[in-house]
Amino acid sequence: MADLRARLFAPARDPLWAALLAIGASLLLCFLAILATGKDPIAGYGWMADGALGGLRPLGETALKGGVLILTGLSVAVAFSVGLFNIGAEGQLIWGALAAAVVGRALDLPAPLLIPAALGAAALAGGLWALIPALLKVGRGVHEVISTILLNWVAIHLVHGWLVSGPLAARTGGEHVSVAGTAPIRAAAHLPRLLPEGRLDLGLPLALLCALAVWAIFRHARKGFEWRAVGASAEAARASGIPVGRRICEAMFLSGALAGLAGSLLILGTEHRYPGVFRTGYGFDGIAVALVGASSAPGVVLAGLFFGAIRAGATRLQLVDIHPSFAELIQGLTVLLVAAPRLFAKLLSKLRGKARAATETGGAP
Amino acid sequence: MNALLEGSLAAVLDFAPPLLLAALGGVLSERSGVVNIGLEGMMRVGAFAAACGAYFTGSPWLGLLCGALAGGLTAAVHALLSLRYRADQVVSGIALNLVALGLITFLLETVFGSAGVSPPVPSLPRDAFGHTALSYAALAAPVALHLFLQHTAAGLRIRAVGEHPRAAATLGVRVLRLRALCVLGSGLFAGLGGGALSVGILGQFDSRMPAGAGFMALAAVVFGKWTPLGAGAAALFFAFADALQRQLGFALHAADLHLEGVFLALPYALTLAVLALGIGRTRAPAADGVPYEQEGR
Amino acid sequence: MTAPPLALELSGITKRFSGAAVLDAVSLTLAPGEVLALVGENGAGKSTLVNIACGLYRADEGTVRVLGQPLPPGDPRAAIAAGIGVVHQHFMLVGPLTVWENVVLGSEPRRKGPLGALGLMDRAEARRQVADAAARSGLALDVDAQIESIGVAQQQRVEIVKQLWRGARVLILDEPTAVLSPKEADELVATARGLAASGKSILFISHKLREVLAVADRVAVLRRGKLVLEARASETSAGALAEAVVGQRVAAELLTALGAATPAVTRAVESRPAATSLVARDLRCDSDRGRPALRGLSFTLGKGEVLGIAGVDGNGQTELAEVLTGLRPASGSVLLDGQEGLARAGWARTSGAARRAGVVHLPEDRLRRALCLALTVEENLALGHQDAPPWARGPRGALVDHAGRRRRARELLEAFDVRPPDPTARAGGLSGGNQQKLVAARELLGGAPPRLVVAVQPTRGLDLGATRRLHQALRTARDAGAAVLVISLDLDELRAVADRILVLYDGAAAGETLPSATDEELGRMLLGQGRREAKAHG
Repeated sequence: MADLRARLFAPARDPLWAALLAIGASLLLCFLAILATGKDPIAGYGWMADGALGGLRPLGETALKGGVLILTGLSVAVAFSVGLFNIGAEGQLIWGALAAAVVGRALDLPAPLLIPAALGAAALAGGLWALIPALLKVGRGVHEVISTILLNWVAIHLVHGWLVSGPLAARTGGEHVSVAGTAPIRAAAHLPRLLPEGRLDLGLPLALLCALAVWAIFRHARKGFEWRAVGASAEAARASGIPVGRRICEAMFLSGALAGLAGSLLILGTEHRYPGVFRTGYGFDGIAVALVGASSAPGVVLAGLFFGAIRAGATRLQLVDIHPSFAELIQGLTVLLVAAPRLFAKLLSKLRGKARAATETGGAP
Repeated sequence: MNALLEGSLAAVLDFAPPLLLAALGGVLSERSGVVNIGLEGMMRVGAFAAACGAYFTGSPWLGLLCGALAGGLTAAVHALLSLRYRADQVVSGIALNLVALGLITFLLETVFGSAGVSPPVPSLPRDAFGHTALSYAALAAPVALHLFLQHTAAGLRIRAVGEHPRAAATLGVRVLRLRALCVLGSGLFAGLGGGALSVGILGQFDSRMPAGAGFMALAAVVFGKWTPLGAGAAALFFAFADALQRQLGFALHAADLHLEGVFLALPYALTLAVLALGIGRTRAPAADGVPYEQEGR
Repeated sequence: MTAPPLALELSGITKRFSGAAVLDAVSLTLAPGEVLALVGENGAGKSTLVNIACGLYRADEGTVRVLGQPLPPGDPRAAIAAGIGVVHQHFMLVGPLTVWENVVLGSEPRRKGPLGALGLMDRAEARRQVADAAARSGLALDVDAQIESIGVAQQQRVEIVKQLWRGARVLILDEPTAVLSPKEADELVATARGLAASGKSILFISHKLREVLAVADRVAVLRRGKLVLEARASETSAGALAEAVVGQRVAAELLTALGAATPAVTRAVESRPAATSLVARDLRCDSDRGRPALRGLSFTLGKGEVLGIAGVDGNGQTELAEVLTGLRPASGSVLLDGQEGLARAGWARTSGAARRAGVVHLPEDRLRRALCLALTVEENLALGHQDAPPWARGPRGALVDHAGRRRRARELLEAFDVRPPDPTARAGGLSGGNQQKLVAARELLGGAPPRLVVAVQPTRGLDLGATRRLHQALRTARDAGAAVLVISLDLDELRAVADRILVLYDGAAAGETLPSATDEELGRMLLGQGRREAKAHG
């Protein structure tokens, strides 16, 4: 798994173009798919644009979802930096969300203290959960892809099938309402909304702050440099005296903390409790965001906002009888295409060859 | 307690086939050296295609065939991307899962006009004990795959290619072609497993399918140490835990205990424990997930 | 002529890599039932010759004939079909499979009838055939054993049986004893003789004169791509072979070429070490394969001294370098300026501790061990001292000092003439030689003045100018008081740069000499014939 980043991103000589090309191609394919089913793609895409960008409220939705996606994208990107593929952002997000819901309920503090406490608890919970695969990797050589997948499901089932429906479930007058999830958090724990209209809250600025911090760590901190060295070649890093195992654990903790924060944004910002069923898919989407964003902080911000817009806009697709999960199709296709840059390279060179042939034959007479 | 066990054991035969078949698909692909995180997506595509096939032909068997073929088609994308275009195998699998999630919901709505469930489709006939022929076939499948891997020339080559592709290549084995075939086979298995969910068990397609069964199959592959018999046994064990949980569920709910999540988490936690403690030398095929570059000479 | 056709006939083989002739009109013959030993230093062209004979490379000139029939060039399958079998130094075996499975892989015997058409193997037949092939060649093998569970010597037998089962009539054994213990090597020699007696032809490639003389009917010596000696084993001697291998060198010419003004001998006197810096006693460690790599090595190295470590590849040099740089655990004792490195929390226990103690490392495998190819040139230059100025700033060097790093990187790139001198280029985009310069610049000049320099094959792949600059840098480090250990397979290099030469053989010191030692003396030590032993023979 050494040099994971190089394997993922090196074939794309220009990650920005690779991403734009993949996004364009995937939007086109989806357009054709809608067309093929006899629905109106132009209206569909129009509604999507409207739902994502048409006014303050839609923009707020885009920013809200974008903020969460930026955090899970950063989570995956930070793990990439040490050469680990963290597929466990979903599980880390769940623990973070639960921690935020519990702290936001349990502590009786004013907002300026309660919100940071809830956020901190979420980061800690996500970070600790991510430390498990890191320790297994360093200590026992367990591949992180396998362990994080397994841990996702452990988290999903433990939280939903036990904690939230059992010990932490809300009780109203002795009556059990397991589907409702945990008791609501205190009003002081609600993330303040930033706009008079719509649901945009402190989440996006927080996510951008985190992106800035990650960018600064990668670019300016010695530790970030050492992480990247470990990711580029663990052997070389070890030979130059870097404690590789420790760096892996640090980066994975941060990775999990970011995913945990993403979970807390959902709870403190919009849900205001841990719902009985809470399968958001944001954790998995973080992988898409990190890949499309070429695993750099600015790239993740852009990709996060883009996919946030798709998610926000896709809810309007219902107006043309298309389920909002169409967003997953767009995302999946984009990742599929980003993952195979050689496919594009080949296509491009073919097109270029054809163009050249065309000009040659055109210029011959 | 006896009734509980009996009920669970009977239910295993119902719940096990999807898991079992998908797990065997995982074994086939990973033994040849290609990681297949996309089992979940392949199962989903298979489950939907099987429901469609059964609905439109009226035959659950043709439905199963459609499911298997659709799973194989999905796997072909994985093979093309990861083997021919050298996309990272993990990324390709994850992307396929995302695509399957969105695409199938979209198609479900398009074909059946509902984003929730399909209309009831013809399901497999059941024998006197209430089991389908697919259940029995699925029970035999691990043995068949075991015999295939151990006793045929192709099986030997698959095992070699997953461990030391270069050594196999020096003896004239065509590594990439063999791997591609194994990925396709893995898709057929997973698609069949998906079909077992929709046409076999439920008699309709549910948009939540396969609800993590693909990932549990992946866990069974690891728990079963990448062998057909091991993975088969693990799948049966996981299915048993699941059935037990369902049987216990009513009793526990009556006692106001909500522990089903603990049962559901158990297969994954146990698999993790096996990996962490290194019980009985658990090891993935040496070349699993490692792209093979043919010599460019 | 009624003589039977030659088993293998190489005539006028020439091979150039990027213009330089690696093989220069080499002709060799191998008769049926004959063992021909091919001897030469690393880089003499032996591997290239083997790769041409088995069809992996195309020769630029010349032909290969097997049993009289010319081989199509560059077609390994044709070579196998013609009866050439190569046992590579690194085995091509699938660990979890059994012996018989490895042997028949790719050409599996099938069941008769419809089951066979379905691809069912005839396991009993396969096992019987493999056991037969082993028995016929006198190699005891448990055909059902898993490859992973058997020793290296057994695995080698599997490789030989694999070739024989496939009908090989010419066996090429590429340094087959490098991985074997002396006793196992003796057994292999006996096996090879037995195979030859049964009519097989064997090309036996080795460094070790003792076994070469024991196994071969004839011996051929390659030096720098040319065949310099071909003789019947019974008509030559270890001394003659050693000299042929190392060659008659003209020291003055060589030193001029390398730009070292002062002859080695005088320098050794001039730079008498001020004090002992490194004292290694009874060092023992295992190789990656779990075999003893160092077997009680002891030596000393003074401050301001360059000690050259000579030896044929695989005699413990790599492991020695790793022990001294904290990358490999070992037993024994190693003192650096009086501090024990192998004690608890000693400086040789981790690579980080070694760095902090002032040990720098120019490793053998630069791509794997020294460089992060995906990072930039300046980032690679910072590795190993990334927490110290000018590479870092702030408390405990917590921040990357971009300006300082850029400045220092430019200086280093210029000092070592790395091209392109672009600090922001990716290290992976540099040529091999420039990557090597990059590592040398970082290790020797990047951080605080080193106390101990461990350089392994420091100039492999460098041109003359770069070699000169690197040697100069090693001398500068020495003159600044560092203890310098240069491990090299290239005797010329050691003669040019070392004050003293220690010869490693089989994990221990075979002898110590001055760079002015004669070729024959060095050659004997290198090839496992110490002075005393040589005298006893003579």
